[in-house]
Amino acid sequence: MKKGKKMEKIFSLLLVLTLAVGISACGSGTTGKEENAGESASRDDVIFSISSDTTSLDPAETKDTVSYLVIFQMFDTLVREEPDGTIAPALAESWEWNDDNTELTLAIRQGVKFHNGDEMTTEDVAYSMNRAIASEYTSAVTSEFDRMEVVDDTHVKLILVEPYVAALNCLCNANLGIVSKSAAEEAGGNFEENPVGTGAYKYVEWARGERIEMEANEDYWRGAPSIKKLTFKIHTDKSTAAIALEKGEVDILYYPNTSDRTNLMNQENITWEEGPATTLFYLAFNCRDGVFANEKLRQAVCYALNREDIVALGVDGLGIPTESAIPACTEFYKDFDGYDQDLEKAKALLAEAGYPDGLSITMKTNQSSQYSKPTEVIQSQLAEVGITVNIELMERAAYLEETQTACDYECTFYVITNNITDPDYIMTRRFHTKMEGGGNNFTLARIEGLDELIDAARGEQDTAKRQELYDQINELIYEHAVIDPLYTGMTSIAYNSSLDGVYCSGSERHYVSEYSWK
Amino acid sequence: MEKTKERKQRSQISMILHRLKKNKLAMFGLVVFLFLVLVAIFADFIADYDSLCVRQNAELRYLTPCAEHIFGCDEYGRDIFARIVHGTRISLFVGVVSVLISLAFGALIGAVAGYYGGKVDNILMRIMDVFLAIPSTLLAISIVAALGQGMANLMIAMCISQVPRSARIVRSSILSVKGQEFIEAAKCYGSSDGWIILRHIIPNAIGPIIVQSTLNVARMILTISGLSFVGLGISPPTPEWGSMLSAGRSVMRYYPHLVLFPGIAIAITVLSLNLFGDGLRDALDPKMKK
Amino acid sequence: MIKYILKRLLMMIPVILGISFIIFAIMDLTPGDPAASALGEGSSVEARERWREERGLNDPFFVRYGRFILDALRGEFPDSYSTNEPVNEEVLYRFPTTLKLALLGTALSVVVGVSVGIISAVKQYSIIDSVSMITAMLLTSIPAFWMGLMLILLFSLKLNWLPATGIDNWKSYILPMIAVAINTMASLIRLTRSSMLEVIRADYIRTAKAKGATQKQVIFKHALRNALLPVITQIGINFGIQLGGAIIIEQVFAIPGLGTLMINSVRLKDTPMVMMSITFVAIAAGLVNLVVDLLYTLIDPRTKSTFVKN
Repeated sequence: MKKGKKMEKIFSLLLVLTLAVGISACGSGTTGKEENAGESASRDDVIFSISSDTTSLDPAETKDTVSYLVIFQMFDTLVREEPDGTIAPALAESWEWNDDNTELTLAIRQGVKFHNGDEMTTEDVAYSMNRAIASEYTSAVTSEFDRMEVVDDTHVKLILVEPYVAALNCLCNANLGIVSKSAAEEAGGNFEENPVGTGAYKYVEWARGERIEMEANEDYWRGAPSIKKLTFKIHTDKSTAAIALEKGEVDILYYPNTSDRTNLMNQENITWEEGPATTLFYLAFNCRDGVFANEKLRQAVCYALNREDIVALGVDGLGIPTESAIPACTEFYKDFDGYDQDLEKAKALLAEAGYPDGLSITMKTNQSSQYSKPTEVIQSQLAEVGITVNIELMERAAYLEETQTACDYECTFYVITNNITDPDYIMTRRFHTKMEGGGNNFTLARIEGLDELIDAARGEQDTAKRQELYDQINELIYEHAVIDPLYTGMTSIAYNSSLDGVYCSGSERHYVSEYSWK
Repeated sequence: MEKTKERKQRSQISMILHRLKKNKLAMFGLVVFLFLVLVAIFADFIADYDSLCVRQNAELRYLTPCAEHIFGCDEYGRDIFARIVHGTRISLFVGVVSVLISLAFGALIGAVAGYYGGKVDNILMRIMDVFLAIPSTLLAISIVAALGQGMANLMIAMCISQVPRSARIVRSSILSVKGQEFIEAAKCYGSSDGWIILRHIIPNAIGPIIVQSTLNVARMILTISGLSFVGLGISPPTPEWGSMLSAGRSVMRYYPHLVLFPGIAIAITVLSLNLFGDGLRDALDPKMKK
Repeated sequence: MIKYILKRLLMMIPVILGISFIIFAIMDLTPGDPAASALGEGSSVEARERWREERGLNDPFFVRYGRFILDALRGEFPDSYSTNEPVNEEVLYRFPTTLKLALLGTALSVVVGVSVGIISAVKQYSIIDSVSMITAMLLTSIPAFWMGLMLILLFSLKLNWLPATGIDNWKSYILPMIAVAINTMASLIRLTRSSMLEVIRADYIRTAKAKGATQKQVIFKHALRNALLPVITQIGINFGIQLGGAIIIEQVFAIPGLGTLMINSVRLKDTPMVMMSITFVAIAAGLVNLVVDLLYTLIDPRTKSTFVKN
């Protein structure tokens, strides 16, 4: 009898305990933030929804767009890309090239203060730059940089490996944000836990996987921002982020789901903006090994595809059909006439290539919907001309290794994000034979004269001449059907209509310091 | 002696069948399951694969259910009903085959461990414990990641994560039979170990194994749909219920029919197997029922 | 008793080593270059090579495995490939979320499962019994992640009552808690019912009844205690599974817990993170099972002999 009671007690105690622990634990997670869009007049904070956590808050250790977005609020770069694509002074007030485009001397803005109160010196600038160059994470933008030297108290000199006119575009990248030398040296490997820059916002807190908080830098050299408190809220599910925006729980939704587009556009208090991004979606062929070494077969495939349908079904219409190998919102992009769908021509070329009865190919693809959905549309389109496509879904790391590094594929649908708004990024990396294998040029095409044209273009300051070179490159790529450009991606941003100053940026450069409540 | 034993077994089976027939829920489960098997076999006659399941049609995108497309159409304008019908084939095939394979391996390991006991048992079961300590979903995910995606690899992954469970069930069934007199008797006659396992132990331990396997097919179908849901499924455009759910998820707010019907299909299939498996267990072990 | 605990803990060591070896081997077989994932697609060949060299990834398999184990024994854990932070920090950071979810899910399934099971058994063959048994059957057959989707659809998207995803406040836990609980709840209903029925039929209950004890007394003082033994084992097992097993539910509700961490790490081929998180879950589940077994003795003195013997 006694034992029975004891057991009962233990059992009920356990239940109460579990419940109590659970409930109290949940309670502590409450942030208690539920403002309404209507009360905007009195607000001076902004909640920005992002779809993943940043990998780091250290500029030299980031590599993805979401991290860049966050970094840009806390760190300034030497030059800055404006919404219209021009390059404007930022921490550098002016710059000058040497004669053979291998050295860039920059005059550094004076009187700029770091978040810790120290004044920024040329020492800090050179330190930041060399720190970034030494980091493995920044090789996408610093591979042409050799080092930066301090010239005097007001000037620094960037020394390049070889002539490279897109260096200024590279300097706009968040990877090259200027950090405080003393803070970085003191922090050692933990700079990301207490990042110190010159940017409009100071670091407050980073709750990993949940949110990042910042406060206004009242001493900001461009002037104190109107938004005093900035929170990046992480919503890994974008549909939820859209609901949060509708309810007024967040103010800005960066890169929303395309499926929420119509609904968000129809909301009265929400503004949706969209525009071309610096991404190019294309079909890449393995031009050296396998069936697609056959140029006629590549052309047959190009003629079989219909860009409009791929955009409509694969990305809900959010893409700009592009026939040029340079994505639409990049410098030197020009309308180009590539392969248009022509099933008769496709079938004829297929027969000419030696496959009158069609053939069966394998398309490896990344399992994320950004790749797999358009691939499914391509599969369906190629079936019309008798090409059976077997889709092989892969995890991202495996996909990259097999298609990019090992070049073990037939053809694949791929997207390249142009980290800088200069076409050279794509051209050198994807088509120059010196970049073959190892993850960059995986079409392995050897087209006579292509390397020379790319080299000439990257060392040419004269815009008109450079344009001409890129036109020739485009023509060569088209003629040999090295890739089939399909569309330029579109980026979008949805925000509370009471916010001023938000715009859609193709290269995802958003500066919250320029926002204000109406 | 063999003959009387066989006769005894037969009458036992007919008793089990009799009990099973009286269990309405179990019979309902069986009927539904057989119906699904027929659907899987005659899928091509119910709905054409190429024109309805694969061909994309921009005009029919997200079509809500109507007379012609009773379950509506998906994001590529493909008929959801047809895809569910053909998906039956995939789910049943993968579910049944992976259970059978894992059972074969599990039975081997479990039989050896259970029959020999001692050190062999200890070592084999410790190895099984290691596998059991890894969350099975995650084990399957890592194996698929290592082998690459696709139906065959998915089945291998499912089997590997399932074998330890089968081994345990077989082992415990065998242990329950092993001590009985007729095994001792067979040993005295000088029968070999393999013969004893095959001829005496397995037939006598088979009841619970069949029950478990029926329920396992149900669990397997659930797990596979879960794996496809997180994007580890079968290559497109093959219609698989879990991947249909995963594709419909981002638009379910606007087009709920994309996630409603495939989920119901999974639930019905699993329910039929569970009902039948449960009834079978009660029939085998009447003590449980009363 | 302490001897028994020590022995159980010692027995966990080979299991943990086995797990770490299996996972390490699987991850090693997985195609994919972690350097490309970590440094981005535009990174240069040299940078990737340097990155691999720094982490000793060019060494042979057994050297790498041995190093991992030896470092782990000394309490040193490698950095994650994707976040560059020590993996133990990230795992410990994520663990409370998963623990909360597992606790809540277990609590809900126990409260509902056990009470419905008892009522069903006591009122055997009544309408309540049939309804709850059919419901239990339905709940075992519904995919939990689909249930999650349907809950989101109804309560978040249509009715707008509860948040669809995330873990912002206590409300966010309601839907995932239900989704996590349904399957185990169903099995607990059935288990409690059958175990209760078995006990009710036992001789000592009949004796108690004969001695004139009321229905209530019989159930709560005599039957429940014995009927709950198998149930408690099951609860322990369920809880262990949920610690590492709510992977797909965490995906549905976008919960930044261990499950999400594990699946993302497998995808990014972040071997150190996968190793750490799985080993951690295995240890946690092992400890939970140990605690459950110890609890057993509090309820059922007969099992004490196990400890004495050992």
